[in-house]
Amino acid sequence: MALGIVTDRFSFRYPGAQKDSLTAISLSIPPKSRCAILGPTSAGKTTFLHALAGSLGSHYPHGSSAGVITIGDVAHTPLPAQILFPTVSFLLQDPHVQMSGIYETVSEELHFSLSNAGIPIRLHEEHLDWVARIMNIHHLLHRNTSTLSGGELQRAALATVLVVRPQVLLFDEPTTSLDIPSQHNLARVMRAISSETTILFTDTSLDLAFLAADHFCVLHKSSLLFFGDRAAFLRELERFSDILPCHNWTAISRSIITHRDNRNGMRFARLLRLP
Amino acid sequence: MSIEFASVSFAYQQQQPVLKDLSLELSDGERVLIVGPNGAGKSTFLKLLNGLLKPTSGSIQVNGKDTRHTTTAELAGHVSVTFQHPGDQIFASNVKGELAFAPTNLKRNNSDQLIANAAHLFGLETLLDKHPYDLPQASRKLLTVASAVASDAPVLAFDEPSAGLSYSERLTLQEALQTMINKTLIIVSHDFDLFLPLCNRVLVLSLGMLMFDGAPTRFIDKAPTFRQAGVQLPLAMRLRSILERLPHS
Repeated sequence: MALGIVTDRFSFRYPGAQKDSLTAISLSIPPKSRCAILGPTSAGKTTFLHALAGSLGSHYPHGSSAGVITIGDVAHTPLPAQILFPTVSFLLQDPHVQMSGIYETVSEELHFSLSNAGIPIRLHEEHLDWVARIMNIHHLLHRNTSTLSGGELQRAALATVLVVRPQVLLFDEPTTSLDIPSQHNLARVMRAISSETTILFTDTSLDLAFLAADHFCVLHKSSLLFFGDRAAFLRELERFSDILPCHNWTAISRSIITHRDNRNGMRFARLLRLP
Repeated sequence: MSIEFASVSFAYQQQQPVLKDLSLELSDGERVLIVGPNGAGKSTFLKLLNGLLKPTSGSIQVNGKDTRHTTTAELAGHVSVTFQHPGDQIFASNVKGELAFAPTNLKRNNSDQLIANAAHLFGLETLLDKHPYDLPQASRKLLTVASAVASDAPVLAFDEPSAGLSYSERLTLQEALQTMINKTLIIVSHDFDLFLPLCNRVLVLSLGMLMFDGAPTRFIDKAPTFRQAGVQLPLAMRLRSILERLPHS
């Protein structure tokens, strides 16, 4: 069952740092959402995901923090102290790091994830079939992980976190090595699993966000600049033109407004679920 | 000409060629964008360029050097390649050391100037004493590109140089590469938005074969026909071009 996420004035500062990496972040992400976390480098995007995953609290117990993070019914004051896998599953930025490296094939890596999540062996094949089907990676299962291309490795890495069927799934920059058709495929996977999984993903481009997200969050210099739905984000898009690659999307939005009374314009607006 | 591939095939495992009978020439000063679906052989192409991999059959000449008979160290002076993941190539203990590695080892006589110039172009001047692993991933990525630039090799080849960069860093990268008018640039990327305006030639690789070689404008026109091969323009670019062509009534 997908879990909602609420943060209330959550702040975090790494041990020894001069300033906060996240400052008073308050937002409420409903269960089953697909939320894009956008913003420039060092805005705090990755730190935010680590906070939700529990890795921030467990790796930096001496960091200073304040506020509350609530995941499902559980309020963590101020943040989860232990890694919450497999309830919250986290795909890191570098897919090399995601692979344990102690097994040879993608299939073995997936079994390793399932064992770590404490899922009984008799259920492993069922999980494997499900993830291979939903991600369309049957052809990669028996490949040696060291022979995968960058994009294939990224898909295999995603499978290792998805296979446990988490209630919250966090992706840190999932599109960095993905070609465009694979990005469409990822958006399809996100939509397919969102009935059972709440998804948060960071990205520096806006394409995956517009393909997949129903909630948008913009972080800048450790603070929350914006949180809202698609319609609100599009309305305010021009505000972010200095920090996000908006130019194509603002032109599209304007162009749809110009064409709003013509059949094509309305078709595009519907296609993109635009206001 | 700076680079010539003559009937090049390459296989990591027998019977499974990654590149098949590839022939092409790249001239001095060309800016080439290589695109193709995941697993098309793009990164392999780059590793063949600097001799990290040798062709299974056929030959590659880089500035007149046959890569089969030239060491990687010797080729490094002619072609500098960056990898997809910065962690695969950064090993100095500070940013300056990383930038200095190539020009010092290649015994460039203007090393200091090359280092300062690369640091300036990529906005790394204030970070020179930092440990590369204390930098955000995006800055590490820019550092790898800057290190290649500091080598002053006439051919610079980058594997997904903009991956993980935010908007302002992408602009820094674009502006820096624009200044390299005397270099042959080879860029493997899915970031059409950034690199199509920068390049004057596009190669489409699919299943190890060259399926298109031409100017960016022709590539954009023909892009719909590459869909089957797994090459697609980003959603925003496609929508924008369609919407701009609609009549206003």
